[in-house]
Amino acid sequence: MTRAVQRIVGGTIVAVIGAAAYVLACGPFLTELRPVLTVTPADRVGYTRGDLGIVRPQFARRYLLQAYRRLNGRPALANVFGPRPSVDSRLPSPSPLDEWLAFRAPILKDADAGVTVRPFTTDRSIGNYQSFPNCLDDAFRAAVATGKARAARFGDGAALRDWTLAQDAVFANCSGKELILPKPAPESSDALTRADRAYQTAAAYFYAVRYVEAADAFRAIGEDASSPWRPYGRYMAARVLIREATIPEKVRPELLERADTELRRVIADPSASVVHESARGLLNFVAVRLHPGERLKTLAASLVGGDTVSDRDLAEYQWVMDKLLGDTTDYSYADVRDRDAIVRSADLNDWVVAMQGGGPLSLERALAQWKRTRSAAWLVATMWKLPAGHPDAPAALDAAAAIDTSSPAYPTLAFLRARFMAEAGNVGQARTLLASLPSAPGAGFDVEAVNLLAAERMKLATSFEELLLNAPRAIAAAVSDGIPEAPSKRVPVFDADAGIVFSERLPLTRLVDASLSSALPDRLRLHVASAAFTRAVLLKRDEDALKLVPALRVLAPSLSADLDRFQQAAPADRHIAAVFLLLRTPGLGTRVTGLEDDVTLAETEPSRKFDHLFRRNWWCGVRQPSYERQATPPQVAFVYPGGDVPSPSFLTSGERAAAEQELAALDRIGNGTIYLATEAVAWAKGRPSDQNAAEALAHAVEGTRWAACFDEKDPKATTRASRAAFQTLHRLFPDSEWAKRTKYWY
Amino acid sequence: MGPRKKKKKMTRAVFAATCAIAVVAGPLVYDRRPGRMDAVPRLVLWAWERPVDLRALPRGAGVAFLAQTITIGADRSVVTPRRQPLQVPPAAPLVAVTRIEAPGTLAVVKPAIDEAAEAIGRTAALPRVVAIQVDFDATRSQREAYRRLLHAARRATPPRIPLSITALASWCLHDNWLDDLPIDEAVPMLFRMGPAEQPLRASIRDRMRAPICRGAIGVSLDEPFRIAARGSRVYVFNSQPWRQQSVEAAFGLTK
Repeated sequence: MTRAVQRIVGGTIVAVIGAAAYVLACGPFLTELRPVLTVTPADRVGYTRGDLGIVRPQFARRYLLQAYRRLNGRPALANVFGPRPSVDSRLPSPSPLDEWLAFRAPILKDADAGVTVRPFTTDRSIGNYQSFPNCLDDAFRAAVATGKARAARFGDGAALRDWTLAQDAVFANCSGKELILPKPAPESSDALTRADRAYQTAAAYFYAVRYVEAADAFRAIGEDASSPWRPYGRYMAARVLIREATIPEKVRPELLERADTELRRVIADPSASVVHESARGLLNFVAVRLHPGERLKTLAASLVGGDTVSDRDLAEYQWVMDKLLGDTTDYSYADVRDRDAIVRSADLNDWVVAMQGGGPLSLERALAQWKRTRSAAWLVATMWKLPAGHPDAPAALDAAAAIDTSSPAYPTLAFLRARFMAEAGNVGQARTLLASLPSAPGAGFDVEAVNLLAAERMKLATSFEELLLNAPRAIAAAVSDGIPEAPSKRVPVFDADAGIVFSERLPLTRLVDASLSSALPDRLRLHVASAAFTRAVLLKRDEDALKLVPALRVLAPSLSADLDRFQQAAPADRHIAAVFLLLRTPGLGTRVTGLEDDVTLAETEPSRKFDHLFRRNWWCGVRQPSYERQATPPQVAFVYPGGDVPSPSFLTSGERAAAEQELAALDRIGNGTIYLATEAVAWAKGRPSDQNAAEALAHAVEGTRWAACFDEKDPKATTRASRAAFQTLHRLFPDSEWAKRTKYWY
Repeated sequence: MGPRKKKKKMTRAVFAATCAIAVVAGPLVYDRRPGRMDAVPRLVLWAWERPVDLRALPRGAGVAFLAQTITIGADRSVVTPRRQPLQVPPAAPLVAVTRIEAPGTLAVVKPAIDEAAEAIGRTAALPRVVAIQVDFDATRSQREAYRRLLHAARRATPPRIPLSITALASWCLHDNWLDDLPIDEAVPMLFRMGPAEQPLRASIRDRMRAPICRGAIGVSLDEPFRIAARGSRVYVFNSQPWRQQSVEAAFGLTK
């Protein structure tokens, strides 16, 4: 084999191995591990049972309905969560259309028979790039059922073929642009055939959006006592009016009024009983569009009054409220356009809008309604919105305190009382109250409620020990692609508030204390100790770094050898030993992770390899990463209504100043990739005979390949650092194994 | 010149010729035609499934609108066309977007793929459409079927109409599988990236391994840390309805 062929074969093998490595890699999909959710209660089973935990204002409306019922002494709804959406559910196999096509195929065997519309679609374009579902599943089901009935009556001869051809013409109008009418029935045909053809003709007009002809034709069928389709005639005429009134979606009330009249006549006609239920459904459909306030009133009566609620009513409630409020649970109360109609429609709807809506008007409404009704539901709405110093606060607090522990409102009101007291400056009272509340799930307090109470306790901690005890949370839900699922693991994690406090409020000395304390679970203690060690190295506080060594050796055994080297190094060599450790450990950073994900959860020690996927290598800075900084995390806002997480109260002014100075110093140091590359170059130049420097330079160069940071002001900074480390490596250690391995800079 | 040296030279020549043919013919094999994207403006606003009124859209921008959603199942696909109106100026160039949804395993059954491909191709016939785009966050196990779908869609689309796809940012970086796709453009969606944001922001410009990703970026108006366009075509997502102010903000992204 020539060398060239050997190279090609070798290259192919490398390529195949490389491709396999890519195949085995994971996509960039993360599952967030959330201690508290915002829109959905995490505990589906408990919430369905009626255990509300702490009711949050931005819950979706169907969950607020469950809360409203329970807070007003009504039984819980078993169907409050509804079925989980599934892509498969949109693909029934076979569909009613498939069943129709299967029915017609053997009857219209030859290809030219029937009306061919390619591609066949059930949707009709109405301009402006918009379509609507014209022929619905029920139409195909009815066609198959009728076809089978006609086959039973006429056999499989010409009559059945004619009927099928006519029906084919009807469906050709589903998407076709031109009106296609079925051929008229032969003069000699019987009454049933003629009645069928009249109905098919009316349907063809309907699907061809020739509404006037369609309505007239259906009405005529409704008047024809001899037609088996008579009960459907007037009902279909109403459907024609409804479609004309609503598609495109500019509601024409005069047509809906006429449809309403037609439908009431259908319901009054005992001979049309076969369509009474459908007619009632359509009446509700019309009512929602003509008089949404009234329909909401009727719906609310059924949603609150009944012991059970139908899925249809729940869906309609969601639809109406979404139409009125938008597909959001976070909006300004003052900006709700139809607010008066919603508020007047029912107490439930009034309460839902007051709960979800933001701004002073929602407080005003909640307070007024609570004063009027004294109900637990309105007290909950009031307490979520009540600011410190409000003149009605004492009365609301007293009322909240009087709620029995067995009430479904108790967990919410207990939490909100503590929150209010803290905001009002009555920290002692708040702490006493919090001390009386559970610190583990049970008796109305679910995982999320316990996490929120822990967050409040952490906020009000008067000692470091207390802060550490309340920083860990349980995972309430694993959220992937916006869909919460029950978590597979129940290990303690931090939430966003703890991430902010540990990363941006505590001085290094406190981080060291936390790392050495037994108050934190080991995996969280490792997170703190890793950040503390990195900071101590960067700030050149070797004594603090040395204090952390024993703990790190136990928590992260893979670092032991490098930690020993650091510990045993002479003071003049210690910083270099620490830089070497950092370069060998891309998993060491300056921040303590707040909200965790499935990747961080799987890490048991700081990674000794570069993260090629998310590039979470070393650090970009000490402040919150931008993707966390865009807005106050909602779970933080529950406990810190102002959005800002302040320094813990027990910190001295000196400690607060120290924390600020350290953050400023770390800011000046900048991102880890460039810092470590620069340090490695300085080390190598200062000690050109130190072979460890070659390894350090190689890691520094590789680090620039997998860098996680980007400086808009100096986009080439990483490349410069990479080139400097690369050139130093090849100039000072040209024959080293590390130089051979390092073929490029980045 | 000895026979060994001659053979080596010949091997090199064959290798060089193979490379040259690959470079020249590659785009033809995969039906990538230079310049086919030229009809698409440098700024394109995404118009998703909500009523969109962009009649006041100034010249110089296009609209990529959701034309249909195709749900692909085990042995068939269901096409759901756009349900909401889209109003645009008569001269605005349009990109018809097909969103693909699929359960865990994407069908590789030919009829389902062909049905979906034909539906994609048909969007090219909509008025004022100058390009078509497919939006599908294919998982790794769905890629082979997606690849086949795109090849079939290319065949079902008039040759003059370019085929664009949206791409997860990772596809353009370390996880490139786009090179042999018959597409004219892959638009890395550089928003809603969560923890992946920093690394992708750091590397998206200089480390795009997939050449097909270098001509365009997709950004969101509501992300405060946007990636500079630097000459690429910019597709802009807006989580709110388009208004004059947001259109102006989108134009600002290309300056």
